[in-house]
Amino acid sequence: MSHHEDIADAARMVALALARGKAPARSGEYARLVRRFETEPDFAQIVRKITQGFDLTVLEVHRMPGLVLGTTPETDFAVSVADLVPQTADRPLYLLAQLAIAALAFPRPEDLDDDEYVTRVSVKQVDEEVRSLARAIEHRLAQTDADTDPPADQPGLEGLWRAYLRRNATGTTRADKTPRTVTYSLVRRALTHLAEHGFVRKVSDEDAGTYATSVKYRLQIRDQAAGDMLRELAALGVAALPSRDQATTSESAADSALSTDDTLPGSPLPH
Amino acid sequence: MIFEEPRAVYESITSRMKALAVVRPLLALDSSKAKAERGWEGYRLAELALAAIDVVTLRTDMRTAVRQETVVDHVSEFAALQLPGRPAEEYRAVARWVTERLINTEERDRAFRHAIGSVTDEGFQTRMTSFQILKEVPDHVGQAALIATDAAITVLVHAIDVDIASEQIAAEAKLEALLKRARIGEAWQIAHTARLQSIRYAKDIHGRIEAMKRNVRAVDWDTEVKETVDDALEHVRSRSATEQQLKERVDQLLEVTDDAHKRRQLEGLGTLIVECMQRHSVLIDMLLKVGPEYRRQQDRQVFVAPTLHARVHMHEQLLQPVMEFSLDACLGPLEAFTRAVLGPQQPRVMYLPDYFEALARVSELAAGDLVPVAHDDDPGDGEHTAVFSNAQHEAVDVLLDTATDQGVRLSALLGSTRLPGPGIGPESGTDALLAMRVQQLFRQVPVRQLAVGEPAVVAVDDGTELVDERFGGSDFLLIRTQSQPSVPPRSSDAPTADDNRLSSVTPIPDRDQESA
Repeated sequence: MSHHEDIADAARMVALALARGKAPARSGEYARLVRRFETEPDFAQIVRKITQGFDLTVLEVHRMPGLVLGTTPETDFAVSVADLVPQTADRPLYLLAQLAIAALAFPRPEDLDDDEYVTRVSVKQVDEEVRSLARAIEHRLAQTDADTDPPADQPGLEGLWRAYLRRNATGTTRADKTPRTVTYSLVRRALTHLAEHGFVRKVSDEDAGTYATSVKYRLQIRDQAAGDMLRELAALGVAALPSRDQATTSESAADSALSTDDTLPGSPLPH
Repeated sequence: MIFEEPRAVYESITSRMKALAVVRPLLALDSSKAKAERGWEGYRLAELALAAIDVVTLRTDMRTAVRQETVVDHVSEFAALQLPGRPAEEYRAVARWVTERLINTEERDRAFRHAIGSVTDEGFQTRMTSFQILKEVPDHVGQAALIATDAAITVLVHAIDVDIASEQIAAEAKLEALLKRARIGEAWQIAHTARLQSIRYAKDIHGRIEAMKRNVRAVDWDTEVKETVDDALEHVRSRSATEQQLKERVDQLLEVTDDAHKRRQLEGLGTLIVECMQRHSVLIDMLLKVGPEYRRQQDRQVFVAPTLHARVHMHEQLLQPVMEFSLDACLGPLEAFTRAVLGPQQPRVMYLPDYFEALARVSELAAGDLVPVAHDDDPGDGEHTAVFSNAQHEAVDVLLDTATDQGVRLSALLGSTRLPGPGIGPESGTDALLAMRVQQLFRQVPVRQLAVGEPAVVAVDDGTELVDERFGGSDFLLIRTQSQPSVPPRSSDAPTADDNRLSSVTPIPDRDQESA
């Protein structure tokens, strides 16, 4: 196969990764490309370079979702949060819901590494979780007599936990619908967005909507989202980055040492 | 066994207890509070649970898992069988509830637990056994789907810790014996059991392949896998031969049996055996692939460097700290998280329908209707009644026919419609119909009639203002005209004040368009 054909194949692989609902198990072409990526270091390198051109990164290639891509701050391919939540007042709460869904889905760090791990998350569960956390903070601050009221001219200084508690969990409008501003609606919107992008799937209407997670969701969080947020928090001086020896691999630590030794020259290590 | 030492016997008790424990969650379904609370007393839930395990086990074709919706669909049919005449939603609700209880969605780790005693070197101990019945795993594309665990299959085939191979041989011998005596009903049961056992067999191999995919080093090819695979391959080959014989036996019996009931049973058995044979060919296929798959995984896992990523405790390291942030400060970290979770998206190319969608999108802030949807002037859903009666149409036709080649003014005709008469009169509204018809004549010249040389009435605007109590505009001149065939209308001797407009070709007015 000529070099140009290789580039076409690599670009096709990136296109398949960007399209919704494509998986190696569903497309012979995709499966072939995944095999090439795994066995041909040069081909893998072309794929990496193409994603680099789009300001994206290769997070990993997995046999179920296929090529998993990550975003960089420069890319035009990332979703815009302003598009997801046009109302600025709802935005922090919606984003909190996204984080709470992930935290509830993967309560232990090792859940993120388990290849067989799928779980369920419901709207009610997420809301109750965030509410109980917020109440714990409220309780703790009440004992220290701290003033939680934000300055009148700076409503943005109100605590996130307080803003969440201020909203009702659910309710009904005159038209017998759920209001869009209650927390149930915000959590449901977050889950709907995840479902639209194939990260979760709705399994029932129980508990205001129950969703099952997918492998791709887990990988996206494990390989990028959790680390990105941790770094943002560290930049704000809140949390420490896990030290190097705490960092571990998808395999066990002993295995990773083994495979590093086994790695042949020219293997598709990120350069 | 009675004479043996209790210590030695206890192992058997422990293993049987483990099997019995698996049955408990099923039986508990029928005594659960939820059953009474939801008014489902009429259903036999444990039996529905068996149906659910059945469908997951049988549909799981060794490598793919079954979506929960499929299971719910299937089980709701059984619910309908148990309690006919209830709404379909109730069947589905019952089926979903039973399925989710089998997954044990109420438990964080999905495990059922049971304390079971066992005797070890240190003496008697009670240990907590945990097991699952239906398990949610990612399917071939990484979405959640269901498989039946070994424990579940145990409940089904009541065979615990036995050598699959010997069990299978015994089952086949029994099946053949039953067939010889033509006890087909029992033979069907045996064949059914044999099929479930071949599923267990496949699960074992499948599990090894999966383990291989995860970590090729965890699998010892030379001692473990190779032996198992060779044994299994040999076993499956001989079994396929046996099944071939059984199929022939069934066919022979079919030829000599006249009893309709027996024939139906035999046909069912035949189908089942064919299905078993198909399953075996899949199994053989799988076994043949184990070797190449092992080498492929070896290649893949040795070549690819494992991804390095930090282990993050989502709850403690991310969720709890960010909750205490202010609304302004939390946006940065939270946006970083959500952007990364949703990953790269295929950019949308803007095309015309998108603009429409964007413009027509209703702001999510609005609760209720932004604009009143129903309006008094909207045509109702009721019958559409014709505005003008037939008599009025006829009257107008007659009036228009009075137009001569000298021409008659619209104002004159309007005057005529307001005279009392059949279909006309001062308050009849026929004048409006006439005005409409004239307007139509002006816009749509009867080209066809003119082209074939038929007489036709045309309306001409010569600039005269209409002076009328109800209508305004031009006082059209209505002229009866007739052209020579295949001669364009402009060559006719009609005093056409506006040639250009006349020559425009438009459809002939249809009578139906005016009514309504």
